[in-house]
Amino acid sequence: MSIKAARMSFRSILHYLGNSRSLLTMLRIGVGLVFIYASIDKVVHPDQFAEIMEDYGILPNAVVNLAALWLAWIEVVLGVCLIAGVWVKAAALMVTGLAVTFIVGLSIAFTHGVGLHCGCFSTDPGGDARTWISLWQEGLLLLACVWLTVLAVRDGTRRTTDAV
Amino acid sequence: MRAFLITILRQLPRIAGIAVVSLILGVAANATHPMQLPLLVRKGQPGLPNWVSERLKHVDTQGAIGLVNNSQVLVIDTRDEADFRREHIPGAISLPYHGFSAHFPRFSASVSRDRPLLIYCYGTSCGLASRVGKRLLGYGYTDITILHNGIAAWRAANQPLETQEEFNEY
Repeated sequence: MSIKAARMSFRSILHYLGNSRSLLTMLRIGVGLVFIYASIDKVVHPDQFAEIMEDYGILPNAVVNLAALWLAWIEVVLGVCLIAGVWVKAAALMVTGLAVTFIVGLSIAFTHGVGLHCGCFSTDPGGDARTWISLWQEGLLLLACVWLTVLAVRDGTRRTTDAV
Repeated sequence: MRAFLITILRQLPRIAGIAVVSLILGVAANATHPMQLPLLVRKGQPGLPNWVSERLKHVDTQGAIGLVNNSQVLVIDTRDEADFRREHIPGAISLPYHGFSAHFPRFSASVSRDRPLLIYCYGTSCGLASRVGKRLLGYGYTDITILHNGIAAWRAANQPLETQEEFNEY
């Protein structure tokens, strides 16, 4: 294959990855399921999730309970929106924002030497703090969320252009 | 970049809508949840419902000395296992907060629900004892006392500490 042909096929792959409707559907359902799964333990054990949020030491103690309840249900609502295909752009922007927030929170804890439990998918304090693994998981989730946002925004723009 | 910012601005009402709906659902779910967390923590610690705070008793070191010497009372160390191995209050058993779910089945099988328990953790701001106390209340234990300021206060009062690698039997 010539260099020109390879460049063309690379461009077509990039174009597919940045514009595919079927990829958008797969990503929004996939990310939506991840957020629903992540929310289950937080909704069932909001008190234990509040303990984990307290350990992050980012929020003042006075508002930790409210923030824990809110965050657990934001994940539920975002998951439902993405799976149902309702308000996808807004939901995609929010899941990206949340993924960034999780990574910043974990990184702050990590740089301060706090071996805390992520609270990402489980509220069980468990045996060992796995901050590095949690960071990798959240990194992959952020990648999927950013990709989803790009596809959702482009899809909305294309549909607006088509309508015009 | 500009188009991206415009998209965010256009989506702001929907983002606010998702945030408000989530907040309403969270508050409503909490009202029907057995834990019923106080929405704003005025005193005490996050994750601790008022009914748990009311049922957990607290003692200072002087009060704890009598409890430690009472063979009916089971003293529980909620710190990490490595810290327990280094030193602990004489006769204490290890039930670490980090690893509670792994240790609890054996604890539950050995300790009766009506046995008086004295729980402690690291020190001044440590809430691990209350967290473990909450879980034990949830599992039906009824007589739970927290040592105020934990092992730090015990050490400051020049009370004896035990050092052993082996764990005490329940």
